[in-house]
Amino acid sequence: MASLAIANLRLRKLRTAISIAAVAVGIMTLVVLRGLVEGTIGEVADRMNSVRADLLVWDKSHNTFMHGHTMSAKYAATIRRMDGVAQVVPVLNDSISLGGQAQTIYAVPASNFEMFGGEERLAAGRLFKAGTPELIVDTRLVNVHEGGLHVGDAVEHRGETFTVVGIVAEGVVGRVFMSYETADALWHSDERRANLLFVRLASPADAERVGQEIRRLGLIVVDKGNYYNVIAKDATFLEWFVWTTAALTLLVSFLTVSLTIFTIVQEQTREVGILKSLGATRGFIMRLVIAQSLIICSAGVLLGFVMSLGAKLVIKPAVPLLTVSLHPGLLATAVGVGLLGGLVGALYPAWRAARLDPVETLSYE
Amino acid sequence: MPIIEAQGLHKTYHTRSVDTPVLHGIDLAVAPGEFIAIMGPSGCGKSTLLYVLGLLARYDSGALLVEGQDAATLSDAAKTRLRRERMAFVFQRFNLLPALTAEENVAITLKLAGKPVGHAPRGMLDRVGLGAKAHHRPAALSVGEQQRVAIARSLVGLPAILLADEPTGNLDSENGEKVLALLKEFNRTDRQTILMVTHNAEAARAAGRIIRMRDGKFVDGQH
Repeated sequence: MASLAIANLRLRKLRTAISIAAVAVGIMTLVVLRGLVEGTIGEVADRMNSVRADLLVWDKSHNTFMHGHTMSAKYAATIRRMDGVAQVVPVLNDSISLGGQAQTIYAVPASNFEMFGGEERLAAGRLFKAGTPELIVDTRLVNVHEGGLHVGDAVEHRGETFTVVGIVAEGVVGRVFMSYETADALWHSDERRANLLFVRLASPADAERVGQEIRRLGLIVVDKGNYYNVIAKDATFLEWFVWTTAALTLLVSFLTVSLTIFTIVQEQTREVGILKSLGATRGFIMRLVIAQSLIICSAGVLLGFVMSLGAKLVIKPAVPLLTVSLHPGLLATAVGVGLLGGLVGALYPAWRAARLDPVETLSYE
Repeated sequence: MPIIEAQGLHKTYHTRSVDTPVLHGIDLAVAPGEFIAIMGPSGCGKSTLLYVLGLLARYDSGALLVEGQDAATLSDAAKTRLRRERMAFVFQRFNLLPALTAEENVAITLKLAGKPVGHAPRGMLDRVGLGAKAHHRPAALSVGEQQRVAIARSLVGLPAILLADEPTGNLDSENGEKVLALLKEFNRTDRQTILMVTHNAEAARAAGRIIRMRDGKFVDGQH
């Protein structure tokens, strides 16, 4: 039956190719959009995982995409006194335009930079000094910034001229670092503030207990390994956008396939009659029609994967700070969606074909 | 035992505006090994009769036994199985599957019946003189060749009966004679039972028995 299905599809090569392309576009849209979201969130989460800390602490009104909410830096001292806590590092976040887009600055105490990779991660230059207008940037940002970024380059930020003094290998939590003291002075606040506290424990086994204790202070505590879920939750709007766009595109794709199958059944009306006269069962006819749809969708899924790889190769140089993650789970989802769409799109035409009267179909012109 | 036995078959086509009686009490018995031609003018109901006897169409009243089985008691699935395993059709318009080669068209009969394919399709194509064209698609075959492939397809499964609906209707006289010669040969050497409908008196003469039909009734030759 598979050979008959393939032979039927090869009889109308252009139409089959168009249907395959329609499915491929839908699959590519799903895979690339999801891959962009998951890849970018994953990359951010991976960078967070590089921090030598166990817990992340925020003010209760924290949102991943807005840096405005700060808490008193005194919480750092309070948490430091808790049993099981080895180190607490306050971080201030700010925003700076580099590499053609806004980048989050991680303002950390210079003396605590070892928590973020330390000097051994420096690819060039040196660490910033406390309280100075100095920046460290990562290698990925260096490559995308127009004209590149080099040790010694001047960068304007909040009316002050900063100097790039070091370049750190990408993969650390931030792309831009400065001294916590410098950022604190720029904010001109009455007391020292922090957007985020990194907490390193004496033993990871204390995470649950220490986390509960910190929550009693009215703060949000997250296990560092769970950061991906935190971002994903805050990016719900993005998820909705991605799924809606992918769903609409896939709907169009599968309507195209369904229309193709309807057309195929119409054209193959006589063939259905011939097969029935030869003794083909209704089940055989249905399976034949569905097989043609599944073949189109399978080929479309494969082509969609290839197109997704191509899209990733195009996106990478065009928008280097974005990451497209094409992982096996996503590809498996695409296969499932493709085959399910092919099956559902073919069910009604297949049912109709199976019920055609053989005598009428044999006289069909 | 007759392969097909019909008694008092009636059939009427019902449309929204009119009912058209097509068969008026057909009695027929087809013995194994017979080659019967049912001859009549266009519109006399001979093709409808063939489809009813071949379990492709229903009848309204009467009795129909196919190899002893009462058609009225058979489910659609059972009729399909009987048609697949014991009957074969040859049509005026050949009705080959255009996407398949000649050999694949012949093989599909065996595949649908769940039988091993082996070399049988090629062997049958050789018998009808088309072994060299096994890999040609129908579009690359002449009308006569297409009809011979259709005959090969119908007989490769060794059916109990071959039902032929105007098999020479779309052929010129030369190709028509070749097709009839083939049918006669299979009937003679393999004792293949053949029931053929035709409006052509010359084609009917290839058969061992001719039944004349007019206005949905047999007028002579049925016994």
